[in-house]
Amino acid sequence: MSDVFGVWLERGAYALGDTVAGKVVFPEPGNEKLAKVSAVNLSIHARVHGSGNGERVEVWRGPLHVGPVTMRELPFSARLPERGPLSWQGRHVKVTWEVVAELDIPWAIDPKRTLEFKVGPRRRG
Amino acid sequence: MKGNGQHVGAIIFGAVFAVIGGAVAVFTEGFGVVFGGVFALVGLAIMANGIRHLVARSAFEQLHLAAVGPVPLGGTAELHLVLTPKRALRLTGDSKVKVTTTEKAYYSAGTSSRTYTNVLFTREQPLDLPQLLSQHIERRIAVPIPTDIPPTWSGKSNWFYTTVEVRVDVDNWPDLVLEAPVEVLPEVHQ
Repeated sequence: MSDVFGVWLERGAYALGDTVAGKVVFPEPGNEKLAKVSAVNLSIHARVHGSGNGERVEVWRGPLHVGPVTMRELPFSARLPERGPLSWQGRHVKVTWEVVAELDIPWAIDPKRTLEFKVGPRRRG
Repeated sequence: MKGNGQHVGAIIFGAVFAVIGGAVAVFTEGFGVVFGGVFALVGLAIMANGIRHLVARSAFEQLHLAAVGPVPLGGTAELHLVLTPKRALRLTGDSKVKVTTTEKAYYSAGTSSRTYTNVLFTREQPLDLPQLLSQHIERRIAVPIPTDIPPTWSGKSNWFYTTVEVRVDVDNWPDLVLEAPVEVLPEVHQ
């Protein structure tokens, strides 16, 4: 099922305060599997994990589209906070920024696509 | 900046630790003696450290260390240090400023919990103080912050933080140690 959709971002790296823009793409919009979709949910967040309890810094979360998928792409954009964790791979704390798109299909396992991106510090001139 | 209350707390905590450990060592046999003995030694060490800090601070009328404001990555943190001795103190000339960035994670599941810390960056620099500290002095301390450390961030169970420690080496007296947090902003000035 995951081959019928994907997530695409304009860039692979952002700075805090930037707008993350991209789209959920459906290469075969006429696919019968997509007709069963009741919603396309999207989450843009930092996943903080490692040795401690995991937590998330949500930037955007909600349904991007409700109903069967008939389009080729669903654009989205969200502004990253001015202050927040930067991408980091430490020994005990790891910060992974990612976009997660999920197709909500009644009475079936919801397929999910995750795309990671880097977040660095703001640049002030 | 840490106050006297924290050190008094450490003394009480260490004393309780030592008493419990001592009691276990005295009233049990075999492994209990070793376990209790180690427990008591750790308690005594915590207590001794708290007393050392209190004694070091007792030579001063006024102590203050604080960051003047937040600092960007690659910037220079400015700290305000105030020292007012009760009597003239001879310093060894080995006083230092140390900046440390740490990542910390807290794990809990059921009744077990654990805290993990990892020092990501540390750097020492000398602190210029007079050899004879006899009156109230104030210093502005400049501490460079690198660009490749994580900025300050606090989650529910994960943290990144930077602190500055000032160690004043007093001749024939316990070293005075002051610590202050520095807020590192997630931005770089070009």
